[in-house]
Amino acid sequence: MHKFTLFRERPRIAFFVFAMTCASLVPASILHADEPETQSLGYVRTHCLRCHGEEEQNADRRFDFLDDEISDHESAELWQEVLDAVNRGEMPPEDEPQPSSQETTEFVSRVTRNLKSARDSLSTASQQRFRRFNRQEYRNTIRDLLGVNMDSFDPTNTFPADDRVEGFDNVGEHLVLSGYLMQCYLEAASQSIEKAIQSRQVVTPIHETLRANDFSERRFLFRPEQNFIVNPTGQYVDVAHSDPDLARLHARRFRGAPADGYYTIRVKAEGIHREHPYPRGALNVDRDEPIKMQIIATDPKLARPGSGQNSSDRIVETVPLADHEPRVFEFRIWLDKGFVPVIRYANGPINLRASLVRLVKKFHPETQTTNWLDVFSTEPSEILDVWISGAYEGPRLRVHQMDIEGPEPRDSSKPDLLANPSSQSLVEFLYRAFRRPPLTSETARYEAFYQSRIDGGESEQAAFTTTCQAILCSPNFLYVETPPDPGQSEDKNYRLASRLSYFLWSSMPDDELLRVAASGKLSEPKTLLAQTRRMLKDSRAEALVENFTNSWLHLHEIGSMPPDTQKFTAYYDRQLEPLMRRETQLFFAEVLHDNLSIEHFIDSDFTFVNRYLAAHYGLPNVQGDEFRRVTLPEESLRGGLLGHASVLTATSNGVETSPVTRGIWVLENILGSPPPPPPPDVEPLEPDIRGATTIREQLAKHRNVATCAECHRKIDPIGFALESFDPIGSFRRQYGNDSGKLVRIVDTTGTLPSGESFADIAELKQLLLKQKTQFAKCLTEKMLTYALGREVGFQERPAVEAIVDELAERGNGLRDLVELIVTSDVFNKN
Amino acid sequence: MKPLNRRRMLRGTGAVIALPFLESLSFSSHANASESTADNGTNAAPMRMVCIGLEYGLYPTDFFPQRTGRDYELPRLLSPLDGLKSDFTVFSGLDHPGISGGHQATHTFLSGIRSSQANQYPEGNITVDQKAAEHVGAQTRYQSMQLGLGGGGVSWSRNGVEIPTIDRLQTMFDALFQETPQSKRTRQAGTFAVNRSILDVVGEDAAALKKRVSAGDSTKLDEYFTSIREVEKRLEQSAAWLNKPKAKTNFKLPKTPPTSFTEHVALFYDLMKLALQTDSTRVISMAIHVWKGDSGLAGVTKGYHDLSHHGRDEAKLDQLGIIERFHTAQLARFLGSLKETQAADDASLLDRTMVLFGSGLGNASSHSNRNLPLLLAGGGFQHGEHKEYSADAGAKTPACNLYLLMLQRFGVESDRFGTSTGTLEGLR
Repeated sequence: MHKFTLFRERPRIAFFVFAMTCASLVPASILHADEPETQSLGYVRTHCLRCHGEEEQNADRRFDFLDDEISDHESAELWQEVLDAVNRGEMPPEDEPQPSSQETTEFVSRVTRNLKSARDSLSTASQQRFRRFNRQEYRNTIRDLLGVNMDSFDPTNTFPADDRVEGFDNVGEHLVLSGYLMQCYLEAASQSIEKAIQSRQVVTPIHETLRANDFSERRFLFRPEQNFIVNPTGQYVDVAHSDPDLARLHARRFRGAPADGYYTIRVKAEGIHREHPYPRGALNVDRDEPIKMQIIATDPKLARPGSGQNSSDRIVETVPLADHEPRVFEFRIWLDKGFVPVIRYANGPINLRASLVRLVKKFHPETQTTNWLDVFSTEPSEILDVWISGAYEGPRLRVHQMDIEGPEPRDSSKPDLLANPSSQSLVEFLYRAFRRPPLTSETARYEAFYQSRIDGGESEQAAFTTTCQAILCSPNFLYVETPPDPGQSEDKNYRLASRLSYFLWSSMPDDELLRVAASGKLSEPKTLLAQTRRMLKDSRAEALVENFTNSWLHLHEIGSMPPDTQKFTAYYDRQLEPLMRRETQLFFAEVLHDNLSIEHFIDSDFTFVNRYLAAHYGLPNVQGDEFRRVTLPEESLRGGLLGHASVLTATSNGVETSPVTRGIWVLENILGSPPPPPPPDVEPLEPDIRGATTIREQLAKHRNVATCAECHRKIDPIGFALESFDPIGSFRRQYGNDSGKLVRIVDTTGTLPSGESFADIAELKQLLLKQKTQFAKCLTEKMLTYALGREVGFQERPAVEAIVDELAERGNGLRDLVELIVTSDVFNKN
Repeated sequence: MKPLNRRRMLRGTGAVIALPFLESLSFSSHANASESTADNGTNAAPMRMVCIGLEYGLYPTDFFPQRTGRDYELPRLLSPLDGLKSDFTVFSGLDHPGISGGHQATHTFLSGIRSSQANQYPEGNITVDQKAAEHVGAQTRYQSMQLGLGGGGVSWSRNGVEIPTIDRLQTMFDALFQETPQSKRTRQAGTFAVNRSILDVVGEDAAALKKRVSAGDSTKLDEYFTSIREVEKRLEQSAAWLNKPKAKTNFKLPKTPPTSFTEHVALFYDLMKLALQTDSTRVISMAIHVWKGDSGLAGVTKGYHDLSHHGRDEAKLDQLGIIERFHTAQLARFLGSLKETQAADDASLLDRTMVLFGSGLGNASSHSNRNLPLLLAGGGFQHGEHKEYSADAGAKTPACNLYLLMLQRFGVESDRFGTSTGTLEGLR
């Protein structure tokens, strides 16, 4: 069932509505005395109606209006739900009288049959296939169609955010096109075409050398400042602070890259005084880390590059420097026209002023002028022999010079679609933009448009680009698949090509895929598989990893409630957020590319970390900033997604953990049996929680209320096992109170509704592994949703079950799942 | 993030200002936003919104009244507003949850969200005035106007961009009353025309497509048609504004441009009133930072920033008081002038304009962002009280709850804004 949402999202009243709709659409009700009662209806009356009928509607479900004849989607979904619950043994609840196994078997087979015939009759009713690009897909398509580098260019930055349904932002029905968005499309098309033309601009390459005096002319610091940047001798510039909101090294003399392109930047730099003599804790730096230099590309038109972060910043790279040994570091970076590179000391002291005041008082009193603490003074009140900047022995980034060379000549192997205004190029452009051969009527239409622009006085080149701009606003471009024209049979292959490339790449098909589509062979399983394998190996498949994990695991929620800055300083100091995401993405990619079993998502013996994440997890012996695969220690609780900080943070609210949120996450995304939202009209119960202190105790009191208990007995135990991890995924054995004191032991024991019990998350994972078929079904449905761009329901159930069966035969490999989905009828024959 | 450099062509000789939302990006998302004509005499007077943000806060002891409810005594800073007591409400205890950082965080004044975290929220860190402006759409010549004296602005768009401000009196005056030179108008008209012809041709494409789609897909495609029609309408309106003459006025800026801070502030208030009166815009924000050069305030010898770090020093507090009372006196004058202007048969311009005055800084001396000084006037609310929102069982009331109430009164149909937990209770 897919009408339920994560606990915290806006409650959907879908169930309420469709339960009501059931009542109005299905005329024959179970209460009709003159109709002979069928076995299935009899079963429902005997075993379900007491809690799900006229008097009581537990969990908002009401079954007394169900009819054997399933004539619409809503009742079909309801019947499917009933069937699922009975099949899983969840209903009737164990403390209610149970039907005999023969009754149940008969019931199950009847209902299954009824659903099958319903499926056939309802099959083509309102299958919606039309879906527009979401922001990501639009960006990627522009990148691939126009050959534009998107590192610093984002035509979608004013687009409204796409609606997410159960985490997925590519579900057609919920991707609405509004006038606002249409206006954004007009603007984005214009910007993108302009950008494409601009990036073809050829200029004479430049070679600039920027030296110390170009970066700063300040010779000394006479008072403690946040902004410690000095050029004492004219030979180098020292930066001693890392505050991202303050000054960075920027040479005003360099006006910006003359044109879009790749540039080679060489920086001669070294780290000074990493081993500083001050006591630990005097400066908030990790003495064991090398001093790191960060290169950032930024747009001087948006803000003064030297003065602090702005929205055009793009971190290019961060490199560790050698101690007291100037070396030249070379970077090949993309710069948009007009952008400049700036340098930042990445991991140095922040709030340096406070530290400096203390250090000067204690260690360098001789550098104090009479106005040394006056924040508003700009001149020293007397001239001293040594200044603060000279005496300070804390760590610094020292830059000697920066060379900028470029741009490199453009890659002219790709055809320039915009260069040559002619009928031929127009057809070429239409073909790629529409992802299929244009109809004669379409070509004629745009040719007429082109002509009208010429008639209006535009030059040929300008008229051509305006025509291309228009094409980028056509529904044939903006919607992933446009319906077949009865006259063109290969159209099906082209649509399949689009569906395949947006599934695996979140972007348009490349030339090879289009060629295979043109040959008419794409729908043949062998060819389809070969293309899928090729595409999975391409770097564009990163999009699948990133977007699917964001959607399935709800990782887009990370940071929606940013962790408390005081309680969780590590999160910000160590920039854990992007690292957490990277771990999960690398893990997913590994399971995909090596075709490992999907069971790894539940429990695994490896993960990906760099030194910071390893420290966060307490894993020993990991150095360096790059990510690498590590085997987890035997006793580690970390294996699988439930040990990933990304998941643990996404399921917290930034201040405290919630077993309910985490429990629901597991039910929704691992077991595929999400509980319904809490009833909207029930009076908020005020369970008496006086005297209850741990979260377990508070929730235990909620479980004393019968209507809540039904769902919470499924949710809470899982959540309690995960209490071993705090809101940012650190392991904890005890809870800390507000002042940090450790107070109570975390109790991770629990019992599942099946009766099986566990002592901690490790044992729970073993129990979850036993439900791997259910997990496989859940994952298959999720991936199918992502692949098709629409919600899947009871109609896809046979396809899902077939895939799950076949997948199990093959060993449950993730890549096998992708291949099975691609070759399934539901994907292939749409 | 790509800067809107197509809009840069609108900067320059002061005729039209860099207003990113003039013609392109933000249109009303509500189809029922009323059609408007240049003279709004026939419509029921629409609602306006003005937000004024002081960078350095207001000395809490002199701003927050002692008692709550209706019978409170106006503290020192609010005494200039004596004659208007029933036209405004003072709030204490409101602030933005989780926001701290002193000056680094004052930009969250109207949004509750730091710009560095904007991309984590569906509407970015859009400020309350911009949300209201989106609702107005193209009904007025300028969807909104942003002023900034001595520093950056206080308005942010939904994509985390601080909206550039007008800081010169002449620029604002020209925007309101100076006709756009023909060359610029021609260029803008050109863009509108290109877009309209693009919409024509893609509309044909869509019509052809419609013949081939299934029933279910047809509904989806209808969204496309509706969107085209919406945009065509907006383009027409914007093009119509191009050729509509601007309002006329007898008001003149002083021949010698004023040099002091106080004169600037006063004149900007005057221009704001004119902008509202001529319906050139219905949403304005003004950020007031620090002055360069002459403050124009007798008795103030030190810098504003310096004084805000009073550390309870008597002398500094005296001078700070002079500055801050100037601000509240100007507010009083502005509110008075709105009250005297008629907007509709039964309403003054003040009744139809909600004016928010306050700061993203709660206490400049300690750099705290808690307990923001907030005052709301006009807008047809039932004013006259000092409302306190104390931390009840640990839960503080977010200032965004007030902003949500303002938006709802403004006509925006929403049940959340920024970090709101609901609509503010206690104010009708």
